[in-house]
Amino acid sequence: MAEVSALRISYATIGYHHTAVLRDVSLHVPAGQTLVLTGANGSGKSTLIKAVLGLADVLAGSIDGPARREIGYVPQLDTLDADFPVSAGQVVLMGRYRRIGWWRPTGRADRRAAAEALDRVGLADRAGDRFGVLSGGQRQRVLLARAMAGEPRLLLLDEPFNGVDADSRVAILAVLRELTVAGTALVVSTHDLALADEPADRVYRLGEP
Amino acid sequence: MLIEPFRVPFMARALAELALLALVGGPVSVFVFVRRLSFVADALTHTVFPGVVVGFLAGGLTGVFVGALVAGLVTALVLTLLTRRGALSDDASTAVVLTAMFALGVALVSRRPSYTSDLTAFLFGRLLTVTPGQLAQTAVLAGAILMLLAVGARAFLFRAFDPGGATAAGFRVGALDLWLNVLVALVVVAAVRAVGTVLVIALLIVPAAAARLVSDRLVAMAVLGTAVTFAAGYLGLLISWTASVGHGIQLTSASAVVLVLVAVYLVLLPAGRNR
Repeated sequence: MAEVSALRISYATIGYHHTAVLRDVSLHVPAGQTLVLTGANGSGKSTLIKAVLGLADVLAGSIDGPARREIGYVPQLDTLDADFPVSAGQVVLMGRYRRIGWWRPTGRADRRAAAEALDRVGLADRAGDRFGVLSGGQRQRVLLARAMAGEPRLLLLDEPFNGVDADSRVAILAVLRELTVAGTALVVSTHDLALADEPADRVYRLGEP
Repeated sequence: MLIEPFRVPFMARALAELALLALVGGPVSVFVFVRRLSFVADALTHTVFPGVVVGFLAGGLTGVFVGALVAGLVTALVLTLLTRRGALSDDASTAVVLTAMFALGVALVSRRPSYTSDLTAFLFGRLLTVTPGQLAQTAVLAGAILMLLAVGARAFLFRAFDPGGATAAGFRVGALDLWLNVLVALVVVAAVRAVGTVLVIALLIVPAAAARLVSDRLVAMAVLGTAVTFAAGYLGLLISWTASVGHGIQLTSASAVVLVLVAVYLVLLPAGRNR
């Protein structure tokens, strides 16, 4: 049986404003599998993820994936303001906003999906806590829950193990495994080669000839 | 003694006007706070000023509203475009534009014989001469602002907290920024005749800043911001009434309101230390 492809990148040149950052990238992630992107900082891992999200330009070649609303994204933790007055539960609910649309109020099904996602990352009891008071690992798990609340077919995680304690790393890896069993395709970037093998079905190294 | 002054119609209307402004000021200031738009809000109050003056010269008091509206919307658009290109970090050039606009307003108004009193009215408002018609206008504008805010609130929150994530989720950040800037402009327009272009900045910044000192919940911040503004409006009016009627001291009511509002912020400041 042929594998169902969740993401296929063919001979893509990727960059910003006509300046190429990555050239000739070809890769393929079937549903239910995990691709780990490795490479030093600045090798273009984030750029590749952004190109899949449509936030970086595809200058040549092609990227074929699910529709935007079926793609989940877990950004790098250090891009977020820890003083922001928002609770962990609210952050997870953001993962539903696109589904809710503009006019409908946030419904019970949305709250339930958010609560379930937070429960799956083991933080059900922290929903009311301000996002910024959580530890780095817990915050990362909240962002993972947010992406899961949107029920994505393809989930992109940018350096999810950065600044994450051992407990949270174990929790994150367990959830990622559950997701792939359920058929979600994952793309995980990490600069830490030691962490690459654990979740990976395949590894793509950037910045090497 | 505490409600007696508000039996006088113009005092009641002033309080009603402030209640409407408090209603929008609470929630809008929360988004100004989390999006760090204080500078944008400040910019708006400065650029609305020449609009107010031109409107007044062209069409009297009705013209003030139209002039403020046009200037506010144009500024919202220009500021959105400037921030998109990242040019707003260039404080100097923006400040030049702001002062230029402000000076233009002063130059225009100085051509009038009633220069001083007009200038005072534009800068600090005429809270005690709010007419029933103006009150109705403010009510309509407040309703529109709250509706536009309610529809966009979730997206504004997402964008403020995590612009990258919001963009990845398919929200158009530029459009959201324009939308929020227009809302801030509309608050300035709604408030400008009553409290003036300078004091309106307090309504856009202090409510949420004060509420943040005692709460880190956004809804609570909005409600508290409104409550604090209304309380300051009531107390400020009462103080200025008592000062002028009871003691013969002239105290502009709008400035009394803003001073009370800032005093509340200062009282709450120690509470913020543990948050």
